[in-house]
Amino acid sequence: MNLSFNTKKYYSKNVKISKMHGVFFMVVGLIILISVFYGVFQLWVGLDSSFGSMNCDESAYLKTNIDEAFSDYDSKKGQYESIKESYYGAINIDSEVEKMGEWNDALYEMIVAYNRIVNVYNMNIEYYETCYSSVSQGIDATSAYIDNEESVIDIAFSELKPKAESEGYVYGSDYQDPLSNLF
Amino acid sequence: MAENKTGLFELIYSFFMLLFGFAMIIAFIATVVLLVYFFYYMIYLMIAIGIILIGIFKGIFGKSHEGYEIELKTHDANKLDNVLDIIHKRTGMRKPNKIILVEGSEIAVSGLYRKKLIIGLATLQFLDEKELLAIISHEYGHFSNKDTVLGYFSYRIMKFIEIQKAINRESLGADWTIIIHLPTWIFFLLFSRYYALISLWYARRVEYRADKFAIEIVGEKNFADSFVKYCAISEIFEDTVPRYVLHYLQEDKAIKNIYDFARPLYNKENIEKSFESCLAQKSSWWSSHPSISERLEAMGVDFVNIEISQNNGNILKNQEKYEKEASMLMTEKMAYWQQLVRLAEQQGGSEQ
Repeated sequence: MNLSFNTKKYYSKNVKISKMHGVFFMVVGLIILISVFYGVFQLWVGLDSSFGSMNCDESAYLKTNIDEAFSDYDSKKGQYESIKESYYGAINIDSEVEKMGEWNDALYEMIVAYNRIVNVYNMNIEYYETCYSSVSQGIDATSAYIDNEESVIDIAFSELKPKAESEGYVYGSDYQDPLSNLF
Repeated sequence: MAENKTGLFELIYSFFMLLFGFAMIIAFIATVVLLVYFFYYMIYLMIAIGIILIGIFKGIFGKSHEGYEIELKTHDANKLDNVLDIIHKRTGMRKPNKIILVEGSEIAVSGLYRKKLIIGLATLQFLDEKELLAIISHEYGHFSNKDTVLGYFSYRIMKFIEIQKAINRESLGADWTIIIHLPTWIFFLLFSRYYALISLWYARRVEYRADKFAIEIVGEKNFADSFVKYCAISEIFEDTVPRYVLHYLQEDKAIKNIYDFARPLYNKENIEKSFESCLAQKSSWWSSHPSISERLEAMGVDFVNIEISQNNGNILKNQEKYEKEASMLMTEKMAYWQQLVRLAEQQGGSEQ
C-alpha cells in the first residue's frame, strides 16, 4: 500500500532549538559550579579553623579536668587491687564471702570513675584529639583492664558460689552480680 | 529551520557537559572526604556517610547491567551487511563491532570503544534495504560525531546521580541522620534536574547533525520517507503489541511469534492514525529527541510517501528463529513486570 502525507501543516507550533539556549545553560552551569566549589572551599576553611587551629593553651583547663578524672580512677584502681588481693588471701569461707562483696563494690567504684573519664572526654573530643592525643589511648587501656577484671571476678564468683551455698549462704535474686555494673 | 551547524560550539558544549557533571561529583566527594576527616570520631555520622560512600563506590565502579542480548550472527546478516557496506563505501566508516537485536522497534547505537548497533526486530519486518540504509545512516551519524562517547560518560554521570538520589531518599528517616541524607538528596535532585536539562538539550541538537549525515548518504526525500515510516510502524508496534502480550499473559498464554501476530495491525487505518500521532508530537525541555515535525521542517520536506508491503522478504537469514527468541524475551519481560506490579499491589493492600 502506498500512502502520501502532507507534513507542512504540523510545523507551525514547533519551538526551535537555539544556540542561545546552550550559551545560557553553560553560563548558568558555570555559575552553579563556581558557587558549589566556593561552598566546599568555605566549608573546608571553616572546619579547618574550628578543628585544625584549636588553641591548646587557652583550653588547658580541659587537661586538668581529664587529669583529675584519671587521678580519681587511679586511686579507685589502687583500692580495687588491694581488695582483690585480700580476697585471694582470705582464710575461710566467711571471709571469702565478705571480701567478694567488697571486691564487687570496688569494681563498681572503678567503673564509675572510668565513666567519668569517658564523659569528660566526650564533652570535648576535638580538644583531646588535637591537643592531648594520649587520652584516647589511656581510655582504651582502661577499658581493656576493666573488661579483663570483669572476667576475673566473674570466674572467682562462679568458683565461690557453690562453696558458699554448701555452707548455708543464699544468693537470692537481689544479689548484685558483679557484671551488672556494666553499662 | 533549526541550526544545523556542526563544530566548535558542539565541542565546547560537550566539554562543558562533562566538566559540569564530573566537577559536581568531585565537589560532592570532596565534601564527604572533609566530613570524614573532621568528624571521623562521630560514629553515627560516619554510619550515615558510610551509606553514601557505598553509593560513591557503586557509582564509580559499578558496571551497567545490559541484560540478555540477542547477538546477530554474521552469517545471518547478509542483507544487513550490504547496507553497512554501502555506508562504508560512501563514508569510509567501519562496521560496528556488534549488532544486537532487540524485541521492540528501536534502532540505536552505543559504545565507548566497541561500537554497538541495536536493531529492533519490529522494524526489520517492514523496512526494506533502502529504508534501513537511511535509518542506519542516521545512527552512523552519531558514531561519526562521537555522540556515543559523550553518551557513555553522560550515562555514567546520570547513574552516579541516580544511585545517590535513591540511597539518600531511602535513608531519610525520623532519626538525626536526616541532617546528612536530606541535604544530599536535595543536592542530587537539583543536580539531576539540571544535568538532564542540559544533556537532553544537547541530545536533541545532535539529532539534527545525525539527520544531516544520513541525508548526505540517501538524500532528503529518501530519508524523510524512511524516517516517517519508521516512526509510524514503531508507534503501531509499541502502542499495541505489549498490550496484547500482557492480555494473553493474564490468561496464562503466550504469543509464539509476536511479529507475525502484529502483521495485520499494519493496515491503512492504523498507519494513518500513527502518522497523525507521530507528527502531532511536540518536543519539550525533557525530550531526548526533537519531534518528528521539527526534524522534517529542518529538512525542508513538505510531503512524505510511505510504502507498506506485507511481503518485504526477510532481511536476516533465520529471521523467524530470532523473532521467536525475541518474542519469548518480550513475554518474559512483561511477565516479570506483571509480577512486580502484582507484588506492589499486594504490599499496598496489606499496608492499608
